[in-house]
Amino acid sequence: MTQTRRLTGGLIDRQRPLNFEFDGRKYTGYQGDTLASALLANGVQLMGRSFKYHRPRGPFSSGSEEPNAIVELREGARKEPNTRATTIELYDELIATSQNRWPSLGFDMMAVNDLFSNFLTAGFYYKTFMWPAAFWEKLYEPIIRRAAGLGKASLEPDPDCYDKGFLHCDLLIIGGGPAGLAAALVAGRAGLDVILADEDFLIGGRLNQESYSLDDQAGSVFAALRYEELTSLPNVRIMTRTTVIGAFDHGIYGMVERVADHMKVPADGQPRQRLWRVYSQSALLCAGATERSIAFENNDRPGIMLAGAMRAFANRWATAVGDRIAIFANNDDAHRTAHDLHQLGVEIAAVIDSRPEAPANDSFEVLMASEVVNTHGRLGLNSIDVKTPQGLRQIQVSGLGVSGGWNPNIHLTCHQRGRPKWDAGLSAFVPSVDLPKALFVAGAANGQMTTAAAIQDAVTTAMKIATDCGRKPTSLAIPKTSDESASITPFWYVTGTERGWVDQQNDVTVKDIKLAHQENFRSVEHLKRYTTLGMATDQGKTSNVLGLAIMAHTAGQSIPDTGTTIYRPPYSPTAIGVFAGRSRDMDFRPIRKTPSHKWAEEQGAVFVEVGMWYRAQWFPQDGETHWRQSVDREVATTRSSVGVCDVTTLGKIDVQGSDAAAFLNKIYCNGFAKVDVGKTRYGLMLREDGIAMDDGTAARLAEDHFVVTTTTANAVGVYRHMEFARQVLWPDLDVQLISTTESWAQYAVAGPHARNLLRKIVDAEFDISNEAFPFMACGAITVCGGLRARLFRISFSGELAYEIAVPTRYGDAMMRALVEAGEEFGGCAYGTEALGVMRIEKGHATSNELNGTTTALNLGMGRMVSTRKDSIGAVLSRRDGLVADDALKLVGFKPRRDSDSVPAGSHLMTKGSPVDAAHDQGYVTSACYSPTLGHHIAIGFLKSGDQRLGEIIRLVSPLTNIEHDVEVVSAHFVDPEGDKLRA
Amino acid sequence: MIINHPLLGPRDAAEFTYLGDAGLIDRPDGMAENALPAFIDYGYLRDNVAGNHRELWFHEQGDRSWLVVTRHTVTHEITNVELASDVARKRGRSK
Amino acid sequence: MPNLTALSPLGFTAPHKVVVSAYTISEVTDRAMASITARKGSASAVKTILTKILNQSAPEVGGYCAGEVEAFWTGQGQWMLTAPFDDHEDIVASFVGIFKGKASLTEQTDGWCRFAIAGQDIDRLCSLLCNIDMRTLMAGKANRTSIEHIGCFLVRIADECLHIIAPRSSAGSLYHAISAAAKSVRF
Repeated sequence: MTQTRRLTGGLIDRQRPLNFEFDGRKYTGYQGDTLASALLANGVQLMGRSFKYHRPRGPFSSGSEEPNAIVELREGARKEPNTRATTIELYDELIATSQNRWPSLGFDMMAVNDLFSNFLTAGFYYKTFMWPAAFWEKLYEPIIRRAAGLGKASLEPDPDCYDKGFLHCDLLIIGGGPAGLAAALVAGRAGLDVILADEDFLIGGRLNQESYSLDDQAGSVFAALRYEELTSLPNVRIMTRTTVIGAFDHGIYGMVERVADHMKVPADGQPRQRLWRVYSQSALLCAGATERSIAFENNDRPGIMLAGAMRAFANRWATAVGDRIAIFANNDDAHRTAHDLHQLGVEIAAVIDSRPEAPANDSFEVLMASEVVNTHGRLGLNSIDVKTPQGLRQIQVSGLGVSGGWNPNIHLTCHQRGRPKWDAGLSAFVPSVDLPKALFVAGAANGQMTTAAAIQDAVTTAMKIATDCGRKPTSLAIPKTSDESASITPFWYVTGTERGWVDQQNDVTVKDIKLAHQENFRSVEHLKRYTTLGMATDQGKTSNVLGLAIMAHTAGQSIPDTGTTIYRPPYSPTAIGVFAGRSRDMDFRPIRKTPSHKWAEEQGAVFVEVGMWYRAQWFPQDGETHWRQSVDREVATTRSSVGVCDVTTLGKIDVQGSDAAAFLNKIYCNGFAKVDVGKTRYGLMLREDGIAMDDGTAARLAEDHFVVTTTTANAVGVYRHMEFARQVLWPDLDVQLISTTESWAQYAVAGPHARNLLRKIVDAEFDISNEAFPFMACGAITVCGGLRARLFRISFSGELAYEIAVPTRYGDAMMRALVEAGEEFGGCAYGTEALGVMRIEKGHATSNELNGTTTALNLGMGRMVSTRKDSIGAVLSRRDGLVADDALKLVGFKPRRDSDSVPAGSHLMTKGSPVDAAHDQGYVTSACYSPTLGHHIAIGFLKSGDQRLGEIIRLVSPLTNIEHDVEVVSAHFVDPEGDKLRA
Repeated sequence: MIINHPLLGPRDAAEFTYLGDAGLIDRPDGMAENALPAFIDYGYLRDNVAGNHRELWFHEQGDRSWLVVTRHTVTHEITNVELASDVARKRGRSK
Repeated sequence: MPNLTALSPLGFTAPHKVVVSAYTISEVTDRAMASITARKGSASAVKTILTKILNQSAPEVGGYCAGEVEAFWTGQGQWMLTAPFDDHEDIVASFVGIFKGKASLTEQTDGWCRFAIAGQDIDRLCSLLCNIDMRTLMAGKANRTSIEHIGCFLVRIADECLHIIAPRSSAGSLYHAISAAAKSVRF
């Protein structure tokens, strides 16, 4: 199909034709076209169907404010719904499909909704589909679900990657039109670091869309020259295809750069989009203005669009919307559309101006004091009804340009709750006096509606910003431009209009606004939410002000008294992918690998995520098909021979200084003042409110040197807590802290043969006999022929055990050496599952038990909280609520029937009592199968548990239908006396 | 938000962890006679101002210093940033 | 000499080096590192001792001193000190005597991975990685921030050379982030 509606001129490259497809039909356009301009050039006006009534629609604008021409762009994994045809940069082989219609755009069955419009007015879902109640789930909801929504997302994973970036500058200029370019030149020439961002792919804003000249040059040429100079300045960074989406606190701005949206497929390594966080000293909003509509009957047909957009299509994209057009406006600016199109050979039927007086001319008819009261042509405009002082006229046209005035694009000024103010002269909202700090506004966005005024405003403001930065800027001459007038007389809607569209995307009409008023939803915030005006993907850019003006008029109030809703980021729809950036799939968080990771992978270990760490959970051996087989074996082997486990992930904090012991005495609830050098002590840390926070060990390597361990999960939090105590609570204690978690690879060696194994590793001169190195000893040693190491005799498994630490670069080699040394004894490596089983068998508490609600008393460690010193949490641990007579106590549970399990999370009920929260006796925190005992076991908290050993109690899990008897036993199932520890 | 660190200059608030009211500096004496009621007030009573709030931030991704930040809870304007250890000493936390 | 094989943070037996787009990324494994934290009342004494060790003024906030023994500032009264690994394997033992109890020294060598990034537009690469104002990170400066949720020291060795020091266990993730940025930055 040839481009029947092409005009001459335009900023398109006729040497570079592009092929594209829309709804399965093939077309040709040119480099520089948008999808909308190329379709219009090919005579296609119909591009979409509205949300509720499925009315046929064409583009209403030529930019990112577009409400109607939203399409599904691309196919397959890259398919994106609700993409504005007016901003899609045409590329070769582009494929797009219309949406929200079935079976086709030309014939949409769902248009039947239009016939039922009386039932589908604002808030209809609060009033209909109520009865009968049973129909809701079975009939109404499924139907509404199918009809609801706009466009279909691809359900395939996104094949593109997205970047995040950070930029710093002296001045961020938002908008590269005449104002922005002028400001950038002033600031750039003055030496400021400038970022100039524009959402368009061509810099120049409306300079590329208007026919008047600047200094006798075409607007686009003028813009190109300014652009060229700016690119030559190394301190200016111009970013096209970049939308500033939000103004955040303290000069931080978010920007989305569409790096590869205009390509069929990004190049290798190229991100699709980038989210930039910009830290700017100052920012200047030069975002221009957006035109708004007038409401009249059937004002939404394909072929009806904003007057400024109509001339943008003609001037920049060499496209006529129709062969015979009219204009309906309340201002002088819209007349330029008629003049421009007339110059390009399009027939102008008339300019219909609502004002009693409007500029007349010789080229075409201007009807004053007139209004368009209806339009005709279902799939495309073919005529309009005009009410003139002389009577009603019908005029044949295939295009109608509408202009109710221009709204300064003040959105970013409201992102920090600034309220715009109404300017009666402009009949528009302008920026409030209460702007975000260091954000300035210039140009049309600031209510300076002519080109000359806009440039002057930008130059003045840029000069001030540069001077405040300590520079000496030079002013910029204001170009000579054809004189435009911004004269406007407010005219919002034709009296008597019912089905006159205000928000075209969400299908909100004048009738809906009047209904909202009638039902007393009169404040702008209620108006918005009751009618959904301004809540579609275009965020009401062409409709908000019109809507509230109609409400104001209906309520008999002024617009300032009616107020306006304000804006929040993002300025235009932004893909979730770009907010995610690189943080997706395997890169969602950094992966922390233990020193034995490589070795564990070679063994085919199954890994588990513990925070950001990957830890080996178990090591399946040949023939093992179920995890229980591996875990049971690892436990049995460790308890009968020896096992090796990587425990590097537990936090290690180096504590030094002459007050190191005094400091630990304040942090731990138990005593640390008198720990001998060469000894390790278990420590329990409380929160200041008396709740147990973390536990670990502190090894005293010297008088002024401890190594404190924490649980893996709390390593970061405990370090932060200790720094708080050090810097804020006791700032003059002589104590220094630093994390050493990563510096040392640490392995647990546990089991009856642990010492025998270690004797093969530890250099001979170190005596690790029970006498020389008893339980809880620690010290510096060397291993494997002189490698520095540290040895700690501590046990989590309850077996004879040690932890050996070496500098991490030798961690891999050490794991291999330990496992090899253990082979002689039939030993093995064990993972976190076996580690967990063994500690449950011993009744050792972990984060399951230190769950943020339990105290030392609950854990059976009440007497550890010293009353003879001040330590964090001690005082509040003694408050009444935490020391009740029937306080929870940590105990063990054994099933009555061997085959029963004792699931964690189950609750405990006294036999015979009702099963409900009021009679709850406690809950199970950790459970496992014990290969050592041959049945399932668990530990948990039971009211007065320590006095109920032997009691048979009811275990319940109502959500999973479990209920059976268990016996209350000591939590220390294996070796309760601790003989093995001290062997 | 930007926090103007007294040593490092302006830094993004994303580098910090927030703890709470700077009143946490004034930890009561745990061995004193009236320790329990003093700790209850210390732990649980807070002024909830719509105005300037002095609060504790930890520069986790920076120099690991604790800071006392004076921030307006409505406008987010930050008017003062001090090293918490300096504030603590001024408020009598020295040994 | 211990009869064990050391591995680099990326898991190689020799420091790994790769060219990605216009940048060369290499592991630096030949430096031992220790943290130096002044004890109470000794901040200025420690600075004096450091100045003597480095043969130049101890680094102030954001500072880095190059040399056979390097140092960069990490906090009030706190620095990282590095020295050639081969003759300072037990770096704490090497320097603890000089500080005469006025500072706490902690071995940090294997707690960190260190990548040298060489290439022409380091600043532009960093704009995709971290929020540091690169206008302030010229040669001789050091800073600390995070890259893709990994806490990192950035040490600007020269205009065309930056070292990134990060927790060792995340070396793989950090390398991945740097190399993705290296490929992306030219677009």
